[in-house]
Amino acid sequence: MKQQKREQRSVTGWPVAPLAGLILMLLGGCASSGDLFRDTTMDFGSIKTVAVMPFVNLSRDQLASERVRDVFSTSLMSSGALYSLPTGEIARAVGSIGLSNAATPSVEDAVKLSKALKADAIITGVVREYGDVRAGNATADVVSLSLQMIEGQTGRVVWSASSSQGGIGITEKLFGGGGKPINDVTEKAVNDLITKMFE
Amino acid sequence: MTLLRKCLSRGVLFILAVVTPCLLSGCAGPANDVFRFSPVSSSWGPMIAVYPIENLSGASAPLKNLHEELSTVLQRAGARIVDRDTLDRFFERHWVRYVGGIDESTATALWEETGTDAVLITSLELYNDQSPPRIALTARLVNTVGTPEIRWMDSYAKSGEDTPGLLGLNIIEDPVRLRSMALDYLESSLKNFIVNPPVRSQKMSARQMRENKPFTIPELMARMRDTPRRLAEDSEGRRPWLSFVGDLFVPRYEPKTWYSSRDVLDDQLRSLAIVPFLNLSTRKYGAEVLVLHLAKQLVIDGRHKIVEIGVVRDKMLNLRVIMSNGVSNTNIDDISNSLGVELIINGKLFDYLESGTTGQNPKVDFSLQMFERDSRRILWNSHSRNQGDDGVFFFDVGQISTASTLTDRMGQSLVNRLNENASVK
Repeated sequence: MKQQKREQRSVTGWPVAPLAGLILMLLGGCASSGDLFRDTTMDFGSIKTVAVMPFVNLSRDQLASERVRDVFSTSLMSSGALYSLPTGEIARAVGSIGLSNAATPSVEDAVKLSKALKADAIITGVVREYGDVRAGNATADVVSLSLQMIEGQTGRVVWSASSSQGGIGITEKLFGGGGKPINDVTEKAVNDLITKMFE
Repeated sequence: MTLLRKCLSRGVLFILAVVTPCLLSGCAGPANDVFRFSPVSSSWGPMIAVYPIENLSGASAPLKNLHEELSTVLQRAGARIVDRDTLDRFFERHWVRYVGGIDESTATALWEETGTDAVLITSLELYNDQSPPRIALTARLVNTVGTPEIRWMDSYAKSGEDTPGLLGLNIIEDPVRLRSMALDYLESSLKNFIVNPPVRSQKMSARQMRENKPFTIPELMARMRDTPRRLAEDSEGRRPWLSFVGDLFVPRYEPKTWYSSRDVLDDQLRSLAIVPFLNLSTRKYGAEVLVLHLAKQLVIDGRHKIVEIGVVRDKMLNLRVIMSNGVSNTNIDDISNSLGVELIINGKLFDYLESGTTGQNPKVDFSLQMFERDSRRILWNSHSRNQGDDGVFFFDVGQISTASTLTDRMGQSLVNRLNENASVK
């Protein structure tokens, strides 16, 4: 009798194990990514005007930060939720308060800057990668950037996220091809970050 | 049999109906206006000073020949041209060195001293006499009386291989032929403008209204106060035709992303100044070429008065305005007060690549912002990016061979989109 039960268990146990594994894998995909920080005490609805500061450029392309900043600024405005101040006005304010490094302002500088610009928040960012990557014969464009939102009144970081798009995937590895153009990849990365901002 | 007769008689009647008007139109005398511009009659139209051609191609080009050919073509068409010696003497007297535009004082002096009514300013954007030859020209007519404004503007861009035809029989290999095609096109467009000026809707001038309004402190305070900003509405509002199908067939050259505050008003005739764009591309004079194409589309659109580019340049030099990173609020105040304009356009050019002999596609990438005088807010912000082979799938149908044509199409789409988002208060 015991032997029969054991046999029955082993028969039913075999399909359960891979199923459980599959469910675990699927659930793993639903897990929140660790590259997003949001201050739960912050009222994001109060932010109407933001100043998008020049981004730090860690890529080989000298214009990468300017390109990404422009795409981000336009996309942010076109979302209709936030007003991004003109870059010329930001440059004037940076000059007037004597900020030496506009891309990475200190807490005091951020407060001063937002006061001078009448901005509710300041957005800073880092372009980590911008351009093509190679793996064997395959080449594809990749964009990787991270952004921070600093509250204007206190100078504390209230939101931070990063996104990497493009690169060499299975399709590129199997069939070759250059992947998507760099501008499309940039737009995708920017849209991903904006979605993360509003979700 | 009767059916055959019927068919025959109908066929004869149809041919007669088509041929008779053609013959009659040939017999008709030229319309009054056309006659006035024709070489048969004495010259008619405004007295035009043909400025030497500005070279924006970034390479050497036969500018003198082009200038002479342009003057000859216009004279042949019956235009009244200020003779070369008079213009040269005027240039010497007034130390005129910049020929890519005209400022207010030079325009006034030109009118007073030579009786010039308008100036024809031509810019060469692209010139290549190697096979296949390529040319791109932009011309504009600027009035000299009052504040110089662009009255007419057009451009022509063509590569010898644009329309190869069957077995390549239509390929143009002679650069002189291509040059004459460009000049003939510009001449006929200008003639058409002078003979049949476009009818613009009569709108009250925003400047007049502003200047006639009595000045009051409360109003000034209200203007200075930060008014609640009107945000763009939901994404569907931006595309009234939005549908599943509409999203699949997005116009090829329209901006990739755009923002409109819906405050781009259409109720008054507003003046618009295009300030020099920031050039981040590798193409020399790329920003100047882009500004010319945007100005052309805005002039054709006719909703705004476009201040002559040379006037804007002159004012900015006089005011010592240096824009390292775009327009600031102080710049908006300076430019709008000195020029009396209501709207200011500024932008950045990221890429301006010409098609090369290796078969690469032209590529243009730029962003544009429109500012309003009183609120100093961004009314319009967009980012456009296209390549010559965008939307080309079969046998190079629809392929664009010059960056000039591509910029033109992108500018046209942008202005259309801008107008769709304009509102009447």
